[in-house]
Amino acid sequence: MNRKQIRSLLTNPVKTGLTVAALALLSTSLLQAHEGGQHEPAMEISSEDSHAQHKAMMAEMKMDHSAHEDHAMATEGEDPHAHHKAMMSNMAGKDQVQRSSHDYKAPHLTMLNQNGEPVAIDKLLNSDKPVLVNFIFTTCPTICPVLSSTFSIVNRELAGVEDLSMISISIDPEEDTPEALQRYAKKFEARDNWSFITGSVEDSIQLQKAFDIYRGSKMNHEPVTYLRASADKPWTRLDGFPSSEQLVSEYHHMTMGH
Amino acid sequence: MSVINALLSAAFVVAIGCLPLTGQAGQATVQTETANPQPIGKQRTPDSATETGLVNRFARNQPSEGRSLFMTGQPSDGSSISVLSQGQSLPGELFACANCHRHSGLGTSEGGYQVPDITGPTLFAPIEVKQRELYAERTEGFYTRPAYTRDTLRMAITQGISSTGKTLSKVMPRYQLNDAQTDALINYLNTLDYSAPPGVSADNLQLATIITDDVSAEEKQALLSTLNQFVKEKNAQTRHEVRRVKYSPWHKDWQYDNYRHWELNLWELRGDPSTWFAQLQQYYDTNPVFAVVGGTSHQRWEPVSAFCEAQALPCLFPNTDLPPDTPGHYSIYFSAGMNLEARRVIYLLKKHSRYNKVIQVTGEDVRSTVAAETLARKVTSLSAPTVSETLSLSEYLNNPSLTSENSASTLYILWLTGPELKKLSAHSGLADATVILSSTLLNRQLDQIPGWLSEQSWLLHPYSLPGSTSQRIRSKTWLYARGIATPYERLQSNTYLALSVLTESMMHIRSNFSQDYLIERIEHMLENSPETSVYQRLSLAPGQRFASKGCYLIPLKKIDGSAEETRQYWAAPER
Repeated sequence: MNRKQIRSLLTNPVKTGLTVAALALLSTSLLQAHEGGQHEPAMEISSEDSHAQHKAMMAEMKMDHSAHEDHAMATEGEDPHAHHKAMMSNMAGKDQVQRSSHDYKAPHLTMLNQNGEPVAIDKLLNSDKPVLVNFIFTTCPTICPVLSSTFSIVNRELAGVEDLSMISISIDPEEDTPEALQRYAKKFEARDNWSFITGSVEDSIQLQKAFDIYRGSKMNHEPVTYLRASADKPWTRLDGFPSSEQLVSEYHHMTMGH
Repeated sequence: MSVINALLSAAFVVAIGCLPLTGQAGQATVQTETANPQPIGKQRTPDSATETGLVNRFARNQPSEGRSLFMTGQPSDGSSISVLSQGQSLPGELFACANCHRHSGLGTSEGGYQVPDITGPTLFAPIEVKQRELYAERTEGFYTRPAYTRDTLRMAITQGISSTGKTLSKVMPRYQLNDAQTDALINYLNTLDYSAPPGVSADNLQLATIITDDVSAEEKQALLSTLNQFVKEKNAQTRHEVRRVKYSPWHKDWQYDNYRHWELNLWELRGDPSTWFAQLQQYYDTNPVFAVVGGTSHQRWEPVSAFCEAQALPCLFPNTDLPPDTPGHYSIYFSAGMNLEARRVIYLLKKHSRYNKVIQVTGEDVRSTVAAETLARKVTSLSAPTVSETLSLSEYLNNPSLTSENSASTLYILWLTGPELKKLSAHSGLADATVILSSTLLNRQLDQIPGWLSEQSWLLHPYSLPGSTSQRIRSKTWLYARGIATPYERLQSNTYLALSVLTESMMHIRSNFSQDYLIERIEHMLENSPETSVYQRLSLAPGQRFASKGCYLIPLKKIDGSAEETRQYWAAPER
């Protein structure tokens, strides 16, 4: 907390209760600073923080209470813990693929595919055939090109397989219009069994939360691939970057067991 | 002992915090063009601005083999290279260096993946973070490494071996380049040197805001009062931040040494827009700036954006309803303005094929003409045959036969202002038609809509709905607390937001005074920013230039509905 923030706490029409709470927090942070043995003078405590979410949390203290409520409304339906998850997951190992099993339930939502056709997303995901799913956005610089290239190779190598469906869901649906997804599909030479899903921001967030991949902002997103043999099986979740060989062998493994 | 100390310090902080703002204020004011363009004692180039820095700044924007490989992942002759990603050979154009390391080369982070800085000055210097022994081993390889040589760098690019001898993350593709290509690429990385940025001196950061002569004196005053107050407070704070460089502990100096006193220059443009480019060039040559922020015009923004592209000058959040339809790299807009509204109508036409005719009525305002032109152009690309006709208001008023065309299959779009709409009152022929109005042209004053139109009218509204004023609570509170009158609340609220975002992103770029990096940080952080605005949702990503992408097209009588009821009328149309 820096001087400007302290000052705005006091000059803004802030309700007394919040001011008191903020001052309590302030003295706690000063206390921590001292006990932490930092040698900077108390006045110079830094607010520098590379995490925008931290700033958001601190900045909320500057708002009056009604603002806080409306801020919450404005981001209605979003996961208040998303940024914690984002930070926690930053600590996970990077190059290893982590495998886990989950009972995710797809919500009943009508979304759109790359052809602009309405799609019942729960029906699509709860297929009795094998499905392979990831979450992407078309302007993503780092993670999605790798995920989509991997999907592209799997899509080509399993071209002879008729029952597999591949699904890429946009986490930036306002930018990723059906037309934008169509261009993206073309770039990765997607065949007919690979569909790209968009819709409203609210629906996309609801779906991301159902698959525990919502991280508050698309720029915090992580590489995750989901697969299962059919609707009566749990989802296998692969965190990291599985290779295309790995996904192909996952497919063969799960369909043999089916 | 520490508890007492802390409490005493807290009390001290409170006392200081109570000091009136004026006691802290710096002397920042917007300089008008009548002010001395070269204030005495102000440096115009940074102390560190080396010849090399200037040469590199020039060189990196010139076409070259290295730049082509870096930016597009392809050699300049348009041929293809391949990369190895996870053992698979893939086309280089999917994995251009600039995708991940960004145009600046300064890197980014995504989902916990850190993409490192690959600018020449960084690569060819060792990274020796002052770490305790305890952490040294854990952080080796990423946080510390020996300086690269051309040979080790070649290994990193082609084989994925870092200068520590360790393997790089598999997210980094292995580029199948020949020696000449690798050399060209390394030469380009060397030009990514930001030691001579325009508008940055050892003490000052030069910024500009642009206002054109069609803006009224009151509007200009509202804009400048907001800008001046913000910069004054920012500088009052900076004074102390600068002091922190000297007295901060060793591990904090990197946080503070980037602070500069902001100097905001007013660039007023006069006369015909075709002369703006030259006027801007003159302002820039007299006093180069690091970025253009805010500002406003009621005319097309294109001449300004063309200048900013030519100079590689960031132009952040101007208040314009008329940005170019195809934005460049260096301008970031709140929304696509009137073009967005026109495209929102196209979205409706695609969805509801019952309309096979569109009649547009335009008024005096240039925004009205632009919207109608965009819509007419896009109508021709619809798969269902649709006829569009554009008439000026007087043509429409003088042609009563048109009102007889009312039918369920005709859509009327009245690109008219409030006073213009009132002239229509005699035209009861529209009473049964579906009519679309633009809230931007109505200046969001919906009480200007005649009663007889309100039953069947739909409203184009690329903002939050009127009921949700609380979305702007941060800027309202800020302006209110400082006693700034808000006759142009949207303009002032947008200005506050533009400056807040600039403040935050300048903090993030630290001492990397790269204008590309500034843009990249804004792309990255906007969605997470706590700032709220008149827009429903602001979000960017690499390459995205319109922060608010959607628009309501909502029946007037539904406008006060709950969020659940009104949500269905919001859509982000195809560009």
